[in-house]
Amino acid sequence: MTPLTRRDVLFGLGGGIAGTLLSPLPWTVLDDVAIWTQHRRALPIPRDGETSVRPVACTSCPAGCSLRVRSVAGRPVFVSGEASHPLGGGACPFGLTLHHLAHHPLRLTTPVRLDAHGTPTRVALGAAVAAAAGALRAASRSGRAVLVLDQRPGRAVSRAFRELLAAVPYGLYATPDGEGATLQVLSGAAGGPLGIDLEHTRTLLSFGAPVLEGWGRPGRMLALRDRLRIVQLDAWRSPTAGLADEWLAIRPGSEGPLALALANVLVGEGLARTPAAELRDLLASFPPERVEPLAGLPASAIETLARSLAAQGPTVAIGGGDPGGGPLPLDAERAIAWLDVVLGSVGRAGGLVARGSLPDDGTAPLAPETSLAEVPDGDVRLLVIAAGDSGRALPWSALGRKLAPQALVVSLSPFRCGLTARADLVVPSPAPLEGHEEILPTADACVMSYAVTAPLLPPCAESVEPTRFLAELARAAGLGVPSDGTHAERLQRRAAAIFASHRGRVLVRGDEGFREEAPADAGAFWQALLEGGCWVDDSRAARAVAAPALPSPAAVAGWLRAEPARSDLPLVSFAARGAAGGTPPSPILTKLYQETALRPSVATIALHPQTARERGLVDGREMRVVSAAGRLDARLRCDPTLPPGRAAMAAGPDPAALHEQDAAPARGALALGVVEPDLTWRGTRVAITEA
Amino acid sequence: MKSPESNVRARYGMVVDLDRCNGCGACVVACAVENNVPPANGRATERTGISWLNVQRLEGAGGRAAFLPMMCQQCDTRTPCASVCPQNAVELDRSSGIVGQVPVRCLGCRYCMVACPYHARYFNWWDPQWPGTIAETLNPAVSTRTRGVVEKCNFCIQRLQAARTRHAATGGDPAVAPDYTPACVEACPAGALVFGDLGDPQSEVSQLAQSPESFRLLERLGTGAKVHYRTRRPWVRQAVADAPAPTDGRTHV
Repeated sequence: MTPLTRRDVLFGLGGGIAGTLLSPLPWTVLDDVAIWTQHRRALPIPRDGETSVRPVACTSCPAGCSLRVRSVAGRPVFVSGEASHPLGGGACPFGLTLHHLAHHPLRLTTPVRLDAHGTPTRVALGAAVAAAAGALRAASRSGRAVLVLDQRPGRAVSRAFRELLAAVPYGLYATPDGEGATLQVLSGAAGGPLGIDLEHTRTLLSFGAPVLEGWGRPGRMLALRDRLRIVQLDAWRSPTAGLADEWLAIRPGSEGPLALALANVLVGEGLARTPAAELRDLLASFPPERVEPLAGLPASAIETLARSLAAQGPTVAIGGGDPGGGPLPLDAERAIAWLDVVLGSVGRAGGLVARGSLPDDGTAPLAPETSLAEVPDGDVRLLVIAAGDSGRALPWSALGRKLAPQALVVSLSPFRCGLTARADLVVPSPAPLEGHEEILPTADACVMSYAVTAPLLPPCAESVEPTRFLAELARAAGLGVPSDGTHAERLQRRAAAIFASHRGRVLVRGDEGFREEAPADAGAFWQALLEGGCWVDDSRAARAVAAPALPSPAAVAGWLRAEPARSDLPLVSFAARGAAGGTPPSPILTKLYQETALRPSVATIALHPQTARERGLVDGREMRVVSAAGRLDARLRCDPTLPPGRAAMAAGPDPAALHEQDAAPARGALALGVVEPDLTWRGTRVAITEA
Repeated sequence: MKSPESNVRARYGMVVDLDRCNGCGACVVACAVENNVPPANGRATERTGISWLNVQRLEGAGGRAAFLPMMCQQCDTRTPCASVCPQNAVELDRSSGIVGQVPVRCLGCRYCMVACPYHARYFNWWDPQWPGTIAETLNPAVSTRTRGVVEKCNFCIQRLQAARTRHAATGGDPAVAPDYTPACVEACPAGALVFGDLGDPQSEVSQLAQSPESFRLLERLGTGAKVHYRTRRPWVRQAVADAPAPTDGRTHV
């Protein structure tokens, strides 16, 4: 045998290394290492399991869009809109992230006390109820008010609130003004709810309402878009203005005089019905020439628009404001309502028609519904913020001014943001998809409808149904309001009342879509609702509409008063519905507000390039924005589509807050809003300088 | 009707109706949710964020607006990203025509991002993070990606596999996926996205793609993109039909 030499060993080693390199082994090892590093523990690995799909309804705003939720192993993973739903399908980006809300970092799962910085400390439910009952008793002793703010009126839980407040010496049940404000002005004159017969409307004249981006039930608007002419009167090129058939850029705050000027032309040219004498006198003060400088529109454009409204009728004029810009002043809504009257749109097909009401399901006395603006300032000892979001912004200062010294604020929201971030106590109700919720018609709906969405997820052990909180509060305060069962039982009783009324149609969900069916009894009707069915009452109530109130003389005088030249700029505040309300947007919405330029967020303030040049401001630089209510920094965005002489800023969301664990202090237009006594903040003016 | 054999060689594509798109962003969000794309890092910008589907705003005269959903255009005859990838991390699936991305093969050189004429590829600058317990809602059909790799739209190819499995479970041909729909198409409330097999002349998507109102982006490059756009508005067509790839999120006309 030949002895092994040093050369043999080197040859062997070299050959071995070369052979190994030529084999798949090292590459496989590299590949495996690469795969291992990409599946390291830092990356979540979603659990797999059985897939199921269930219908639900979105509860993050009053639209109640119909959705389908795909779950894997009982965990919702994907949400989509249900376009074929009889109440209108489709979903907005907020609805598509509904399943994130139960997992949101700002979600509260136990009752907490919030300190001045909004830091939560866990408290027992009994302690929270005792504190609220103490405040309620103190309110009764001192003659102060107990106020419930309900941003989603008409629900069964709203009734529970009103029953409790009826038993309190000075109980107030308030709702903020919303997108149906014009209809409300006319409904007051009609003695019942009105809706818009959009299916037969030819022209929709919108005074700043976001009719194409989240208004009413968006699925209905999308279905009607091709045959509906939309004229948008807006102070900025809103998404609706950009998509409308016609956009007329108006001066902020000129909605009221412009509506009266349009009515003036219609009446003056005999294109509309002759109004009462007092309106004729009022209209005489608003010829197009006089309104031209107020609205920033040529008189000829006002005249042309008025003629087209008459020629391309039926026309409906609506106000209601923007979810971030807040409501229009009541007097502007009255002027728009009068334009509807002059156009002959009230009570006719294609116009504003009477809508039925839900059958009554209780006999207990109820506290009357009042507007939040009518609640006296400094008079509220106990404020309860009801769960349920309108999707619209409401600055804290609008609510804070109503509070008496040492007032207690209790929120029933499951989220620590918006108004709830300023509460003293939070008793969280179940998050979306965790409880039974009612779906009621939106403000624009011309038929009454009712649907219920059943829970998809088990509720958190320590979340509290508002009806349970109210029952415990009534017991602790010795109010003697009988406990009327759980939330689900209340809904079931309401469904039974609807069934017993023998009105409307029941549409149940089948394999081939929806079909009309007559349930055998109330139990079968309830079951059909839980399985995604709905009740629709097509019958129209015949209702005579009296003349609505005229704009107040003070408002008219204000409109006609020449405004002195000022160096500060009117602020146009805006937000998509759901972006600045009480429900936190899902962090994934950074896709729209941070990672793309699709939607402006609170991080920027927009000016027309000419306005910026006149003030020596440079695009993209950081600016200091100051109003009488506050100051903040924002990046300047020169936007040639924004008319000169105004600034535009979003009221939400804040991209920084989308990925923070803590509720950030309010930024954006909401922090700058100067709230007037009528709880509008559209008159805010800002000074902008380089930071 | 096509035979199952011919569907094996499907060429899935999309037609985007720019006249129906209202820029709501539902497709953007649905895409991110379905494909486990994380929320932005706090430092992310329009250049460093990840949005497989990105809706651009087009500004017309007189305040007119239109919206342009931009995703991987699924190049067919020439796929620049596939041809430059040194790792074979980009694959053109011959059975569906879908250009897929294999993140575990990607070494993060970003050569494909340079090559892509549509700017439709995104690099993971940070490890993904889902605040709160939102990771509980992740889709198990799509693996999460680490920092350092490139990703892009793949027409929700996991849904193709699921649709084929469902079809096979009912006794159908396992190569056929009759109810295959990407997340963006399912989510669009305006019905602006039409999806299907461009190779099937009877399909709606195929007929829409052939209509004179339809066009492709950067057609002169000859990439054979399988995403088509259509509009009846001349100014919109002029703005996008042969416009350079936008860089600032907005295209001014």
